[in-house]
Amino acid sequence: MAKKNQDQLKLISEHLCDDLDADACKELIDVLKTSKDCRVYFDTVKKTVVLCRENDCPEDLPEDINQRLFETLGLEKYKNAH
Amino acid sequence: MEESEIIEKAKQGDQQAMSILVNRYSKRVYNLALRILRNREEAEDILQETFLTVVAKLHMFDGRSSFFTWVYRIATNSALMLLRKKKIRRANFKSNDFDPEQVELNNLVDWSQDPTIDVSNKETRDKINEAIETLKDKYKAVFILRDIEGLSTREASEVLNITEENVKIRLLRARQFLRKELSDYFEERLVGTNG
Repeated sequence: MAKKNQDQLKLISEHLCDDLDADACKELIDVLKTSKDCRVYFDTVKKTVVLCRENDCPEDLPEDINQRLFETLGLEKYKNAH
Repeated sequence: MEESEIIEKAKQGDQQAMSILVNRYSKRVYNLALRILRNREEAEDILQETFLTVVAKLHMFDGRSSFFTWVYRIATNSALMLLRKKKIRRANFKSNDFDPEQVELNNLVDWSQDPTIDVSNKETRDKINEAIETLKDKYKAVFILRDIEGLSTREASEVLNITEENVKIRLLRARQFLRKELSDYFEERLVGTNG
């Protein structure tokens, strides 16, 4: 039972990564149709990932940190090169 | 100019070309370090260390991986090394005790449709941060690269120098652990609200 669980969880995780081939995808859809707990597991894992992404706020590189970086590298003269 | 040309020029000592590469990736490296370490000063240390290494070892970059994954590998290794040195609450890492083989698919509570759950709530944000913070380093790195940064399985495997299968396994473990942590919290909230 534990092994079967693990196989199903792996399938669900890989689906969230879009790493599934067509056969595995069909297998997953069958699992989700027939098992309520698998469906709940799938939805809550998906929601977990979504919440973690939404909670993540990328920051702009602060100007003072950028300045110190270029000074450390000895590249101040080309700080604005793009 | 193509990135490969910029890299070639930088390899030959062209400082302007090197600066273009620094400007192209500094923000992403800083944010990656910030995600792993959750500390701005340490993220700056990793940023400097990463690009000092890039400058010193660029001649060794052979183009087998993309330049981006090469830079990310340096940054990730440095950040994980610092994380290990800090040895923060090692013994208390909940994920050390987490056994993914024990995940039961029985009577699961579906909190995914609860409209009150969102990241504008500070307590929810704190809970998410705490859960990520308590992930084991090797799971945390994969989770950040794959699910937060959006790297492909292949890119993450190149950055971490592990197989793609290992990336998938670690990502599964990370998601299982995070789902459990958030489920415990949200289920408790649901019970509190309903009864």
